[in-house]
Amino acid sequence: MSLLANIDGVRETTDIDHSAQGFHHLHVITLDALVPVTQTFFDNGFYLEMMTCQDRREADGIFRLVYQFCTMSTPQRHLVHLDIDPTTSAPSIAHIFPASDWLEREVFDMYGVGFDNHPDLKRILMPEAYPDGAHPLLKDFVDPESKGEADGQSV
Amino acid sequence: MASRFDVVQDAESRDTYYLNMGPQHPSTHGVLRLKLHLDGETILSVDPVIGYGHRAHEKMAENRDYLQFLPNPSRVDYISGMIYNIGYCQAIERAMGIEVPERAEYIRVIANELNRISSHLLWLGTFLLDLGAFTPFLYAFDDREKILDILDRVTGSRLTYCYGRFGGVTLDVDDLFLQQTAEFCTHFKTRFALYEELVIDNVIFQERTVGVGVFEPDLIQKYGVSGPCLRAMGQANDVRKDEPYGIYDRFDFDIPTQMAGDCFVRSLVRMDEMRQSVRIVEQAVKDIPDGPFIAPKVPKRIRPAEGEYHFCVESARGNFGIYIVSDGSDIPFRLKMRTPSFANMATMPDVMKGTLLSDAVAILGSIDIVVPEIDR
Amino acid sequence: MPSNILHFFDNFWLAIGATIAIVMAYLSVNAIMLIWLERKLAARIQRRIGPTRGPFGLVQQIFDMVKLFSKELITPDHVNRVLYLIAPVMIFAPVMALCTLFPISATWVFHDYSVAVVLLLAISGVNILAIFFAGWGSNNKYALLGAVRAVAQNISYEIPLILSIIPIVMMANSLSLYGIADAQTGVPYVLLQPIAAIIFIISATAETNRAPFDIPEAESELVAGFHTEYSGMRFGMFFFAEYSNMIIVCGLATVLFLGGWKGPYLPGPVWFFIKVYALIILMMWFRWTFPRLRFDQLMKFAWMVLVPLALINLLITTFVLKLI
Repeated sequence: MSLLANIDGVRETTDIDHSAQGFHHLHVITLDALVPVTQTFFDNGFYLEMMTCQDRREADGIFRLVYQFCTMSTPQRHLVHLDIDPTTSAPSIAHIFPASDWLEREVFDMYGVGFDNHPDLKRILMPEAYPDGAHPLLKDFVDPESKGEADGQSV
Repeated sequence: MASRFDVVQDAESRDTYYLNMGPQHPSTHGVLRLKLHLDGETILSVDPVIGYGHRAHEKMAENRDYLQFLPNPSRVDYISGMIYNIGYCQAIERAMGIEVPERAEYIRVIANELNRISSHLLWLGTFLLDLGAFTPFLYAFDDREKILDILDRVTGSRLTYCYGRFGGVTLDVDDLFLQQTAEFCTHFKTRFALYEELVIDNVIFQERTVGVGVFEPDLIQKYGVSGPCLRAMGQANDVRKDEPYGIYDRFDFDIPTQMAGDCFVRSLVRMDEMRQSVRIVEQAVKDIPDGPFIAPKVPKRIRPAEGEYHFCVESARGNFGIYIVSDGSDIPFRLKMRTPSFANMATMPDVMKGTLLSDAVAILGSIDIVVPEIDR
Repeated sequence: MPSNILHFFDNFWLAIGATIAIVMAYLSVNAIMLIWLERKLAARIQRRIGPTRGPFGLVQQIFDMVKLFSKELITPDHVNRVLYLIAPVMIFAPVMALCTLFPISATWVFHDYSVAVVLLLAISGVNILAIFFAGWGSNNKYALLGAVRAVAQNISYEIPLILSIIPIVMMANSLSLYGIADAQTGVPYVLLQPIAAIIFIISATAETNRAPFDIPEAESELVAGFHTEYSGMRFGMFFFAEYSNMIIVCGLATVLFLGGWKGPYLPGPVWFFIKVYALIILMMWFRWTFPRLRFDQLMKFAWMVLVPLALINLLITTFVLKLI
């Protein structure tokens, strides 16, 4: 709770019921706060368990970057939300957590979100020669190979 | 842009060269490609290229409802598919608040631990195969076959299980299953001495693994290493103990740890883990109660309340996390799988630097990667 | 003195032709049977059945031969054609020559050379060259790595190999294989020179590139090592050469340490082949039991353990012989 109290840009911190949702705390932060927040987590012995993105452009006009920090023993799982404008890029935290090198590449690959100061931002799961601008996990993604309708909900 | 398959001569030095290990190579355990920068046989740097086995599971999740996604998790890691399959069920159950009957919980524990043993046995075989010993592979597969037969009888599949259901399991187990499982445990305990004599005590095996591929302690925090690799670095962390899910808190078992962090102790940790799994299975077989094997009242429509859910289980390779974002509809808004091999594989550039080509093979084998799990 | 093959045939060319025919026929059948033996043995070690076509699975080998012969010989575009094509022939040729050196019994010898041991070591050196041709000519990094490893390994292990032979030569006071075998009256040299025998069998396993020293073709590291780019019968030649080389080193070990054809009750050739194949089974047993050594460990083992040990053994032998 008090972990991030002194950092500017941490807009909101809420406690979550771990037994129902698996997280202990949720922090909503701004773009500037990401690096100091990450550094704080690093200094307090957390590791970056997971990092991903949500495509909320339709509802809110944003990409929501999700960082999940966790301690090793007696898990304390912190969820960090960083909402960014689809046109802007986020700062990379790969210099603090090298694990985020690949995770940021995956987010870039799947959502097209850029990361500043990333050591080597390129596609990771899709082929390097995949068409620019084709990012599969976007909600409006259309398979460039089929050139037709993307596989919708008609399963 | 240079083609992906270009064989590049190093511009700076004529003494070094690049070698593509994979995507098709006998010991990359699937379609993984390591771009090695070599000086003679010494590895200067490694650039793992992944994604050859990408099957878009996360995209699929956004196009299916929760039940339709059920067969997918076991395909993510086909070696320990049961754990993933049941882990996904448990994630949904917690999000929906579904109560699971006692008997189903016990069945799940037995199935999970049998699957963990079979996964570790496959690791043992393929690891030794990487080191050039062919025979232990068949001994390990001999034992693994027994597990597959036992699970095949009740689940109907041998590898990519879809045994879990929201609220329980597909089919009840019978007495024969429990009897076979107990017999397997008795048999398997006699095999450890054999494996130790044939493999662990072998001088060449020790030469090849002791002090090779050491994970420095700072990698734990930097990369989030988990599973046997983590426990081989002296950290006694196991999701089954730290955040007990299901009924794991009822069982008496230890977390094996070793200090050195090299290939050899990773092997020891996995051998010990098999022992502990046998212990758990024996307790579960003894205590399993009668009763329903699936919750009588499971909601027809699986619609978790709007919000974010995280659930992690200890797979054979480490901490497998499922992160679900629900918007209150039938279909997940976002489903992200945190796979242990992805994190463990990300350490490779640090771990492999300065080792020999033969060591690279040993290290890859010892961290027990499953490439489709990295690629998802 | 044993009878020379020239004594059977009055004509020189007839003798040469007969020799080649016998050796070719023997090596082919031998390789086929050894592959069968290795498969069956591996299967037994691994609790499998092994090949089952025909009686005892013997027909399997014939099918495999037909398959190898009928496969297309692919020559990749990027290879050095001369080296690439010459290597499979070159690896097989020395083996054929070496086969003629062994005394099978007190009377059965193709030709007894007075310096047969030196000749044998010299001709078997060609083997390395062929492997290097294959690796270099394939123009493939895995093949080249395999070839480099093979050259380094074979050169390193030749030294302990020779150092373990010298005490035997000193004791027998002869460089002829017939002479060495003949000198072992009563006690075979394996009992008098156990250290040399152990060094010899280890070095011989390394010389034939067999597990646990099979690093030039380490499957899990180098795909197939120096013969990665070979297919069909060209690959078959490397395969044949491996098994024929086993015959050579085991034959040499039999002559040097086990007294050649000597043994009670049974005729000489029977004893000779029993000993040779017993040693081959021992080498197969190694292969299916041990993991593979790493390259640097392999070299270290040769230079730090085997060579000093062989030298000490040589020194002791010299003193003892001098005192007697």
